[in-house]
Amino acid sequence: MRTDRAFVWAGLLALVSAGSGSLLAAPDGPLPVRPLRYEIWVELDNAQKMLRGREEITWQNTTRDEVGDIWLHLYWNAFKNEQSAFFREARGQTLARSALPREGEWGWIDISRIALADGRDLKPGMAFATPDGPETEGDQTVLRVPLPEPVPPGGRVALKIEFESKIPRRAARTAYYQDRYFIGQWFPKPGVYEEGKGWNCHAYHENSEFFADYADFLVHITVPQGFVVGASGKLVDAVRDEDRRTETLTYGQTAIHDFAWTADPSFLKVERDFVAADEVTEAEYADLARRLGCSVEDLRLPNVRMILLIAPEHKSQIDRHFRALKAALKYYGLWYGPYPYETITMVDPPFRTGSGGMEYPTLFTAGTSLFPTDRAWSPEGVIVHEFGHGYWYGLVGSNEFEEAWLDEGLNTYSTGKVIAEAYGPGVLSLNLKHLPLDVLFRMPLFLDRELNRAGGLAVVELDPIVTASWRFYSRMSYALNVYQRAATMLETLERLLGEDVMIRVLRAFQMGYRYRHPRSEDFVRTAEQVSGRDLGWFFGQFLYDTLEFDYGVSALHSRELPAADLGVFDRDGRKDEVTPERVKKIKQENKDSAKAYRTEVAVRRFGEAKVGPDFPLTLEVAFEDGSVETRTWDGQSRWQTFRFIKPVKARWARIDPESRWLLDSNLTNNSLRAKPSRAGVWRITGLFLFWVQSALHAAGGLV
Amino acid sequence: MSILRAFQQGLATTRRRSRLILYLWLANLFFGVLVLGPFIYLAGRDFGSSLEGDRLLQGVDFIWLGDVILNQGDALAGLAGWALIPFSLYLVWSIFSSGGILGRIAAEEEKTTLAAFVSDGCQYFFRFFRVPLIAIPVYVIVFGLLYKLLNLPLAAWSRTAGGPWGDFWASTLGVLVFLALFSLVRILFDYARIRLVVDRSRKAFRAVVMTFGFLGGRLVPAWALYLLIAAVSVVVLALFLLVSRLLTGASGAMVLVVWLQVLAAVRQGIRILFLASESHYYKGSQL
Repeated sequence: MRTDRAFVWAGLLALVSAGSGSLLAAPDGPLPVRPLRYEIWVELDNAQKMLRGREEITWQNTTRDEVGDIWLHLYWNAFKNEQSAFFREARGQTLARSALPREGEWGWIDISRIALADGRDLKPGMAFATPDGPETEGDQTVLRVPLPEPVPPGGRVALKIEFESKIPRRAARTAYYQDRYFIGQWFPKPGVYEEGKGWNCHAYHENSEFFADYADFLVHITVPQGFVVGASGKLVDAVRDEDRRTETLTYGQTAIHDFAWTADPSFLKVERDFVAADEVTEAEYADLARRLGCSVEDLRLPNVRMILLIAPEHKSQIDRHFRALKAALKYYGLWYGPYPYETITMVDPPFRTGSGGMEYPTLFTAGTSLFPTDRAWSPEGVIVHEFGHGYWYGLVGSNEFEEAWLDEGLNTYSTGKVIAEAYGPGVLSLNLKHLPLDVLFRMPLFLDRELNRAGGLAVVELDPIVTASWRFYSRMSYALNVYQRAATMLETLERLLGEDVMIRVLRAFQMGYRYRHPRSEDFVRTAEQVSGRDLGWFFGQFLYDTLEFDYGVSALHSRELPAADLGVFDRDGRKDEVTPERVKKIKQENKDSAKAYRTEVAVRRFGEAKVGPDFPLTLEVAFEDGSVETRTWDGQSRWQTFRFIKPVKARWARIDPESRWLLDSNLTNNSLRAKPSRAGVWRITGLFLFWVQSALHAAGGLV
Repeated sequence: MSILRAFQQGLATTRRRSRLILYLWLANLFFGVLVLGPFIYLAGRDFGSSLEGDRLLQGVDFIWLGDVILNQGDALAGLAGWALIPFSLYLVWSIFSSGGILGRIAAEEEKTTLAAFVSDGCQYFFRFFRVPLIAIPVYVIVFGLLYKLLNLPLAAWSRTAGGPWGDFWASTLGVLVFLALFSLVRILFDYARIRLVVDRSRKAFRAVVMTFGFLGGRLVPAWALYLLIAAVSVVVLALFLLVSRLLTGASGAMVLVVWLQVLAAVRQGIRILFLASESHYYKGSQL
């Protein structure tokens, strides 16, 4: 039986207008106009490691501009030769020449035909473009195709494209190994047309992910029989061709902006349902509704079909994978809005394809090992994170090329929240050649936010978080800024605004910009509107600038007040000199009365960044009688001294006692003891000493 | 001579020469403190006067570790450079102490005194110093050539592995091959040192060459003896580490520090056990 195209498209379009519930998966609620519609036929040539395909693209001009050309991503040309922006940047950063693809391992994509629906050939006019500057000269990942006549506002253009691609053996996110495949960014794909600006269509950079317009997809994938296939969207048809020994699987999905698939004969395919009624109690709904100020009905989650493709070697981890996915569906759904698609496909990445830990709409790749540690939350962390990209990248279609923090930062922050809620602190895993050594050692427990802070604050002075991905100082700066520093910034914002307000901010941003392409300014505006606070100072310093934030206590002294001050005083019309002997005498006379101490605490702003006008810092000073005095400091000057007169000395002073400022690059100097305590230092020194002794012992064994 | 008998005699000698453990442990501790000295100063300065210092009692966490990385990164890099000095000195000490240990083992009825240990160390230092110099080309040949050759089929297997298990077994076997070769090289030079002491020889190169002859007919039992002691030491180490996992929180902090030092001392005992057992095996095989 052959798939009836007209029938399937009719079902797809009916769903777009009707909501959900039949042939194809469509998100609930009214959808913005989607500028694109794809129908793709692709066949996997397992012997040659090739894809051969054709696609019909309909693009609608949703702007007020007249558009005279169309720009296409040809991402796989990033793996074609050393002149691609991808390889140039990789070699400049991390990639040794020996790690380049070997003979026959390069990947590429060729367009063999491109024409309008009426048959007019567009191929003669097409040319590669380098929109990211002369440094990407020679790159072939962006193709400009002039149109014979401009597309007017509201008009459409339909393209018919035939393409042939060589699957790269080892590349970023997409590859084959033996007869295992992960296929991403594989089809000719228009950029995003921005009104008044033109096509936003960047080259494939080493430090960057992607950006595309929302579309409805219908994809027919032909593979040799025996392959287990997973893909974005929902399987709507499967047809076997016994003569050719192939199988064609048709997947459809509305309102997504990318489509990926995988094929591997060894996959185990397991399907389960996320049943919201089983996962979320009425009490949980009620509590969250109260915190967010909305009705329980606004929060109700839909059921979702969960599909897992997993390597047989990881069969024992099936429950672990589903538990993590359920936690992600639950908490992302409750906090940020319900997951709107019918299916989610979770892929244990095919062996040696380097495709693990990557997000695609309604499909993501996880990644695990043969012996995962019980409490290391791996693969859980990657499952929650990559599923979470379905929200921050999938549903809110931010530009990963230009503002990667909007998906990676928001999602790293969100991942930490979900893992902390569902699992609690995890341990670092320690492996030697796959063998888990953490059985022997007590590994440190940590929450994601602690690790994010340690990494993210190391690159504060290198780049602003909002920087185009390929323009960061280094790959390290890109990764730590957009993931960890951004997550630390959001964690700090949560502590300043309160957890409930922060959930409201993110929910408003998610629901307000679903199926749209918001910018950083939209997030800032949403945060200000929802919280009712001016946050310009916050984002100005921590999102758009490179300022270090560090406040601390720099001095703490308690001195006994003298019984009398020395010197000459005018008393009763005569000069009265107070000498040291007289002070001693006064002290002796008053020896039974209570002593008094003057405590001085100096606080300093060591960094350039300042707290905002509505967010003063708190200073806490503890005294020997157990009392605690609290003061506030606006933190605008470089330093401030606080004085206390008390009958006892101070024990310690601490600024920001609630640790609201996780962005503070030095939490150690936030407090100061009057008397040092070295117990902790000895403890940790003792531990490190043992490991140094061990290293010495091992080195001695060599001679 | 049976390897079990050599092992038993080695244990008895280690017990009898237990004072050597004290010397070796103290030296190991001294060099460890030397390496960590700057870190101890920095940690004391920063954490000693901060409330964050209390977090150190709970063990490693990423808040205080983050502060160390963020604020002492440059100092830590300097610390790594500084550490090269005590590490180099420790290598010299190891050569010296091998002479001290083997000298005391060979002096069967004599007492174990610091003076005697130092005297033995001095006596054998220069000939023992030549042993690692001779070992360098052996290491190069064994690990630069032989190991790579033996690893070729494993690497080929790993390259074409159909799944993670193939990769796992290939890499595990690779580790075992490495350890096997390493233990063989260690045996060779252990017996060369023993020969230098027992035979009162001054010629290190000749001792190494002669050791090939010695091991030629006794490689299997000599290797088995080495592996037996290695297995015992792995079990002891694992037990110590498992117990140390139980020592948590502030209350267990100092107990853990002491416990780890006991382990450091036991490790020195195992070093003596290796040399003592091998000495007895060597002498027993010469009879």
